Order: sequence, then structure tokens, then C-alpha cells
Amino acid sequence: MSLTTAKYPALTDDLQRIFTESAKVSMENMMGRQIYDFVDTNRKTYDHLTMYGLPGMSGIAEGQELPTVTSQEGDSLTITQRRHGNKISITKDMRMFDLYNQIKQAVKSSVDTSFNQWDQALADLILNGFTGTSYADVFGFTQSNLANDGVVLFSASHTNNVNSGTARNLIRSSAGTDNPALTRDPVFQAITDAMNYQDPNSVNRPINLDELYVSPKNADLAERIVYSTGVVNTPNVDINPIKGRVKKVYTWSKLTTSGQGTDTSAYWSMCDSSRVKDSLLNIVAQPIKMHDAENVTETQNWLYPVDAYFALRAAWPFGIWGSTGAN
Amino acid sequence: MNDGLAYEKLVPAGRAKAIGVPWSSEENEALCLIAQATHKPFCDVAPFVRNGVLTLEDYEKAVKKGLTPPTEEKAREIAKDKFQDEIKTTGGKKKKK
Repeated sequence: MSLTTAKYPALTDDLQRIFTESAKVSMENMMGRQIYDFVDTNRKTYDHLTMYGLPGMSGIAEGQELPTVTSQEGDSLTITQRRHGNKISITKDMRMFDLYNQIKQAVKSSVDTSFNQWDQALADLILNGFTGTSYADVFGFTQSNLANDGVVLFSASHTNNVNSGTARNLIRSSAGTDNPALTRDPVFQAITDAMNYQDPNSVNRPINLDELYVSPKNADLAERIVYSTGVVNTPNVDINPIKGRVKKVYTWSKLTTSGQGTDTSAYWSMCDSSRVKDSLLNIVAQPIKMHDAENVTETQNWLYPVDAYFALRAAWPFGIWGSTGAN
Repeated sequence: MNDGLAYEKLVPAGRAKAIGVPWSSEENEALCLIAQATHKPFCDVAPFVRNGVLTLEDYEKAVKKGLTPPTEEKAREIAKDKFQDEIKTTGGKKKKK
């Protein structure tokens, strides 16, 4: 029996159930959720402040007033929500001939595509974080790739508003070559550089790079560098110190090719799992949601609008370190 | 594009090229290199970089010659004066090519 208008509420309930189940599975597969801070907010514009490190405590003599620590130090950023969406069309034919399988596939596939696009957008901010100041994202918006100091996400010269000091989060080799290919040497150098990070007040605030993100192409190499008991590619019996420092290697398929079509399979990055969420922000006012259908009179299609409000930005850059692997 | 950066603070501090315009990677590298080599704040070096000085050598030459590039505010005033002069001469009409 065909799915008539009278059956609209039942079909809609059913589609919502399929949507929710598909969304649950797709969302679990979003690798970007590991490193982005998903900030749930109703604000259309979200103000974010990054502090580079306030002046610390001082010795206080008897009766002396405590020095005031101000929040002047730091860079602010305003992130504006963006709407993303489409419509799932359930055609008259699908309903007329009770093509339930097609209806179900239309919803499942659309949800899966949307979450994969979102995950690609999360990866693209990292993949485009080496040059330029903006790029066209997978949704067609212009996306800034600058951290809140106004410098591209991965740089050897991040600035601050306290002095002319700079700090890096662009990975280099021990010989000082920027953007090295993935080998043991730059992994160890990045860990060392991050541990030695000093804030603008010259206070050492160690960054502990304990996660490695690679494309599937580099997964085998990355896992051998990190998980081998001995030092990789050596016949000696030394232990592998990186094994204890990097806790996990993540293989992220979205790193293979950027949403802009660039081959980025050699790109790799390292994160401090406890601080990377200060670096990568995804503000969400409404996750991907399917609404009740509109009936389009002429075609008799039922159009189910699907939309989401969210926006991405890089903030404090030092929680993530990256290399294009070009050198 | 409104990229949400606090340009009203970044530009006077020499940490962005102009309102809504960040430094390019090359310009930022030059700014940091010159500022660190000369122990000067970014805001003193930025006007030179805005005017195309991208190496320490060129910066030193410019300083030796006593060149003082216009600040962001001064450049804006010059542009405004030039625009007003043009309005006076052309009467606001576009010049024929």
C-alpha cells in the first residue's frame, strides 16, 4: 500500500529514527572530535580570549600589597556561527510505490555525507594551516586559517602582545629544516621544542606532545616509530623513548586529500591531548538536525530540511604542532 | 571577510598589516626577524614592513638614510587628502581611460 499523506506523521517519525541512528554512528566516526573543543553555545558571535601566560607570583614582604594580575595580556577572537544545510527529497514515486528502502537510504546517505563533510572541514583547518590567510571550505564559505595572534596556524614566528618574542609550532628537524617528512628525528625534535616552550614572560610552560595524527599512507611508518620496542630501523638493542612519550597514533583518513583537492597525505601533526582543545575550536549552536518536511505542491515531493549552525577557528596555536612533510 | 581577529589591537601593535589585513607569512617572518635583531618593538618595525622592507639589510639601509615610512594613521591621512584633491579636480566624475 502506498505511503499517502495520511501516513506522513508515521513516515516522519520513522525517518527521524533513521536519522538519529545514522547520526549517532557517523558522529562517533568523526575523528576531528578528538582534537576540537566542541563548544555548545546559543550565541551567534562567540568571544574567545587566549592568555599567553599572565605574570606569575612575586615574593611578598610583610605588609606589602599583592601585585595585580590583569587580563590585558592575550589576544581575543570573535567567532560567528554559520548555517549549513540541505534538503532530503522523498519523491512522490518513492511514496507511491512504497520504496521504503530508497527512502531509508536517502536519509542515511545524506546524514553520513554531512558528518563526513563536517569532519573534512575540521581536518581542512589543519591542512590549510601552513600558508595564506584563508581558503574556501567544503561548504563554500571563506574560512580563516589564522590563530588569534593573526598568524597562520602553523608558524615558526607566532607573536604575542607583551613583547617582540616569538614562539613556534611549526615542526622542524634537528638540523633546523621546517616541514620535515615523518621520521623519528623530527618527532623527537617536536617533543623537545614543545617541552621547552616559554610564554612571553619567559616562564617555561611545557607542552607535552603525546598524540600523533597521520594520514593512512603514513600510518604504518608512524606506528613503527612510536610503538616499536627498540629505536625504529636500527639493529641495536636501545629502547624506544618515543614509545613512552607519544601515547597514541591516530590515523585520520581526512588528512589524505584536503577538501580543496590538494594531496596532503604527507602532512602530519602532533598534539598535547590536554591542551589541544585550547587550540582548535568548533562552536556549535545546533548540531545537524532534520526538520519536518515541506510539501512541494507541484512535484509532490516531501522535502525534509537538514541544517546545522557551527563555526570553526584556530585559537591558542601551541596545543597542536604540524608539518607538511615536504622536506 | 570578517575573520574575527581583534585588528583594533593588532594593527597599532604592529601585529597586522592593516584593519582586516593580516601579515603574509613572508612579511611576518621579516617583521619578527628585524624586531628581534634590532631589539625594537613590532610597532616600530611594522611601518617599514608595510612599505616593502623585508630584510634586515634593507631595514638598516632605510634607517641609515633617515627614511621614516608613514605610520598607518599618516598613510590614511595622505590617502584621504589625495582623494579629496581628486574630487576637487574631477568634480567626482570618473576619469576617462
